[in-house]
Amino acid sequence: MSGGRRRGPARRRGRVHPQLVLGAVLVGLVLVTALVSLVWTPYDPEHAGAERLLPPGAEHWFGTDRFGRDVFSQVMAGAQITLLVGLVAVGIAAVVGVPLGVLAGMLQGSGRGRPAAVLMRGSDILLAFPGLLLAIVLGAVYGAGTVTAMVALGIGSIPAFARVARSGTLQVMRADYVLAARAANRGNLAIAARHVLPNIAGTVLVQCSVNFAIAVLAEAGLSFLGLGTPPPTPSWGRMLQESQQFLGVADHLAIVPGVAIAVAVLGFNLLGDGLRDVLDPRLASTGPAAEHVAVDAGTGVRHEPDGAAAEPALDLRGLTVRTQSGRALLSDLSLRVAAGERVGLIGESGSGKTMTALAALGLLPDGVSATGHVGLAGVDGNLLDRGERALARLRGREISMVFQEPMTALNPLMRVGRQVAEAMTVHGVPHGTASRRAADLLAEVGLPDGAARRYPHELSGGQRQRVVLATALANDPAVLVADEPTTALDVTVQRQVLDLVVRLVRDRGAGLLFITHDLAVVSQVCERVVVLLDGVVVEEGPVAEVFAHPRHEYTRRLLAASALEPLAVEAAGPGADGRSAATAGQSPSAPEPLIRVEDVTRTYASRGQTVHALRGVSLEVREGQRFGIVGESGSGKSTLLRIVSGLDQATSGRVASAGVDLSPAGTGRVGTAPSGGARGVGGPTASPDLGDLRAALQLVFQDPYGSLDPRMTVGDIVAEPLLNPANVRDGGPRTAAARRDAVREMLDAVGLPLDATERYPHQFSGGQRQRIAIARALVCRPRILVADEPVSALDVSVRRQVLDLLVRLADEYALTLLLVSHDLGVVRHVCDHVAVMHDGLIVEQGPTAQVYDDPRHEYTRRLRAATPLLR
Amino acid sequence: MARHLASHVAQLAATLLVATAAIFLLLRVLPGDPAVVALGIEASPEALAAWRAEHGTDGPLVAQYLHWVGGLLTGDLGTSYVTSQELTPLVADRVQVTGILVLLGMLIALVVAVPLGTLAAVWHRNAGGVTLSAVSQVGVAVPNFLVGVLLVSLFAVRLGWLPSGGWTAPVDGLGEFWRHVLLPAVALGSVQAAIITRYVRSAVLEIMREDFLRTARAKGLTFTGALVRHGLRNAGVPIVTVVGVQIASMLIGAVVIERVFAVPGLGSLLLDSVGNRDLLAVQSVVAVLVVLVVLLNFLVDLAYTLLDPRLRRAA
Repeated sequence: MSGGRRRGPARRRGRVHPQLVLGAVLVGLVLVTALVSLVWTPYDPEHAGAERLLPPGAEHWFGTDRFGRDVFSQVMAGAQITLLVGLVAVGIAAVVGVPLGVLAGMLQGSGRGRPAAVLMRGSDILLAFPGLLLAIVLGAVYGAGTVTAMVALGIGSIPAFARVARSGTLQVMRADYVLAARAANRGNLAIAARHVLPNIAGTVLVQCSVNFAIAVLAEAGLSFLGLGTPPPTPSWGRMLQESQQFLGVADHLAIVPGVAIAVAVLGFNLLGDGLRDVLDPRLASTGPAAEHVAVDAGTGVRHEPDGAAAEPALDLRGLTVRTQSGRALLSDLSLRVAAGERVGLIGESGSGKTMTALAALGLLPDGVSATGHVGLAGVDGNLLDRGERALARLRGREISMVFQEPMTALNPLMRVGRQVAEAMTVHGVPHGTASRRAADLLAEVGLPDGAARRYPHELSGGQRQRVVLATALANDPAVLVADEPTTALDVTVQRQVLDLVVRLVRDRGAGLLFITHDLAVVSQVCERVVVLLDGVVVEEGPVAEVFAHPRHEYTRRLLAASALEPLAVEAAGPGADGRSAATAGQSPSAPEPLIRVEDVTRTYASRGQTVHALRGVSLEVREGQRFGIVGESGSGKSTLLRIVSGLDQATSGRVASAGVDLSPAGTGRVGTAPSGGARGVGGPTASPDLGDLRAALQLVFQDPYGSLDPRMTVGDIVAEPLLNPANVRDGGPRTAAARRDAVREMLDAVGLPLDATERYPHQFSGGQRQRIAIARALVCRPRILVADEPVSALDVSVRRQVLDLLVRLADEYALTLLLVSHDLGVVRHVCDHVAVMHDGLIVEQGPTAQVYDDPRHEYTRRLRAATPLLR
Repeated sequence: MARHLASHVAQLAATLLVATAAIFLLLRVLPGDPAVVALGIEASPEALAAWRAEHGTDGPLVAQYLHWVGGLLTGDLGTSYVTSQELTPLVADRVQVTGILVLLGMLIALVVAVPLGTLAAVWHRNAGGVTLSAVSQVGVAVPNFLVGVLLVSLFAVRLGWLPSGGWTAPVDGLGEFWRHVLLPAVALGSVQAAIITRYVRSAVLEIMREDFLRTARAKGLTFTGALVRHGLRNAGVPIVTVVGVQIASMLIGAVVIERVFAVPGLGSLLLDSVGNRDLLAVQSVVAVLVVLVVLLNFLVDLAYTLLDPRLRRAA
């Protein structure tokens, strides 16, 4: 692990950043000037040897001052004091502020908000003493001078560094890779050194550069006031101050040091801005390798569009969308939506389906342009030829759109009633009428009375999506484009919103273009379907026909991946008791559960309110089982999973995982020690022995982008759990070479190439990243693998592969699998046992087949009915 | 909301308490006995005691601190040890001058920065936006006293249109007031304009990426319409913070500008008092400045809550 390799994001961008380069050149210029002036200046800067107030000329490039000193030499030498003051001030601020901020961030990130807040308040009090004021005050007491200035400016900048370090640390602490490190039993110091510091180094560097600029300005100001470096040492600020008496006579005396200050400040500011841009992950643009095989364009089977005789409500012909660099996001796409017709546009991420929608409404992002034809019934000509003003008149009236993310689609500062009404007022409806209509519309989409007066944050995701829908349909448009409108919603809410969309569109006789990755949703909502792959339509036709007899290979693959049938062999057995006896060598008559949860509650305070995340949950997971927990957002499933994994503690009840008692202190501890161990029995101990748990239980997280540290190589990531000796089993890898072998073996087992060890996470696709996360979880051979929504962020075709990999590995490594998902289909595919959670309770549990085929609880039935199925 | 306000006020009080204690420690305790400072080390014990009694520096330090803070609260800053002047009217007078200067400077800055920053964001992909960005970047790097010196050189020395310094209060003649205030306010405001332009640009750029702006356009608003009706108020939330922080920094920055233009504001008083080693005056001026800075931060927090309904209930 050499230092040079850890540069991931910065190295990604091949392009030279102009600000960064200019900043570096200017800073370099100041630096070189200062260094050169130490050994050489044209004249002695402190020696008055020439004629006074000479204008710039050949002899004295920048002229001479009132004592006949050479201005050029003085400016050169002045760079020294500027850099010295900046360096020491920034040094003091960083050395004090960064550890303070990291400490506060780590405290808060691990749930100890109060001491963190105290730390930050303390540092914030310094905000009341800006550096310049502090320097004046200290100067008054201890005498002005270079040292006073440096110290005062440094102290004054401490809060800025503390804040930057704290927010950076908090961000890192919230990342799943820190959770993974904690699950691998890494200590706080190790987390700080391996994850926090490398990841905040960039922002701290930016802050250093920006603060250097501030210090240069402040030093100049102090010298200007006569409170900086005393004469005769040359200083830019004092040169400026002395120039004042000769204004109009010798302006060069003001301009030369003024420009010097500006160049230095500009240099450091540009350097900081450039670094910020280069280090900003949002701007790092290299995409991972495409996950699916490319299909040659134009080979797809095409059906003749139905109802070609009638004028289509929306008519896209030969639509091609390109980026500025010429990359085609959509190629020659043709698509028609007849009046009253519901057309589904299907594709995986990156297929260009959202671009299609945006092109139709003239909302393409900057730097992306479309050619071809976009026609709308009753509107002459090509929409692509219209200007923004002419397009705006059509948007919301003839064609409107519903977006994917309801949480951000509404203006947070405006009441929702006004936002709905605005859709009408912009098209000329008087305010009073529009407000009344808006209230009616909100009622029509099923929002409670008075919803119009609410702000978006006071509504749930499903409610917000209803508001967006009401807005879109306010003017009874001929075409509604819906881009993944229910993807961000829970299953039961999704069902309601889908039904609503279909009803409203049908009532209005509008055409619907419904964009989604979910084939089952299309089969419920749409009559016709268009399949998009890499910006090319590969197949289209009536839903029933395409789904029953897919002609294109990609459609077939997509359909196969979407249909998650239960894995036959395991589901057949009633439990998994037999296997547990075989693997663990326990008495088959009384197998101890590997995970036992008894009447667990978890409450926490959030913004002054008490939240009951878990309200009395009990379950048992036996060795070798594949146990699924299914529930919607807010059901408590993730909280339960964190408690079982020792990452959170229950408020009351008893918990034991892999023989380690995780019950909260103070409650009677449960004696669930397996036959082999004697731990955990007896009275309460201060903290459970998590070390043993970490070796036995590992996790895989939901977001494959957040769960891997972007600055570590895949080899280092997978090896991390092995670095804690407590995690390594007897005979396990304890040397660097053995660890390397173990990592290779694991990467091979999850189906990744061996050269992956030297690469960084960003070079892998989502599915591959999830494989890396699985390899990390299994490298120290745990007995239990806990997976939190492991495939919900993945495309359909990849989802299937990762699920099957999990099942295969569970068999190979004799794992007990605990899988949490919102998707009943996923759980049914993988698990032999399932618990259904709702509102902090387990409402039903049992063998998957039984719960699925014969649900007892009303909520399970509702969940099942809401889950979209392929017809 | 009430609880939120209460906790903010409590924080404000705690901050002010600690800050004033720090000032007291720094300027009253650390430099040594003010009686000795005033009368010299050869003064007789009787003279020292008399001086202490007269200036109220003979009690325990805690009592002196409380007396001083009580004075701050009631508007009695005491009498200068050096000039024997009443400090309250002096400081009040100077606060007005600096206040006018800073507010006028900020007004100039906002009038320039809000439109320019918005344009720089909207045009960020073309030459106009890049030029605006570059100009503001250079503007940030120029020290305000350099601008001051150059303005004096041009308008006072060469053109002779405006006085190079001095001050006339508005009550003593509005015409003269404007002639005197214009150059320092422009010097103070122009650099701020560059700084705020950059903040406005990045706030508007951020807003332009928001989904709700796209929703607004999907309703039928033009890009400009959506930006004006939905974008600017949202961008306003971070900009208000910056304005508050910058007013605080201008209060301190005015020290230098007042020196350039010989404006009798708080900054000049502070520097003169430092020069005279008039520590009680320094202590008073610093306290006033710090209280103003802390109050500004407090107001910014409040404004935040008022502008953003999400914070009203959450807090």
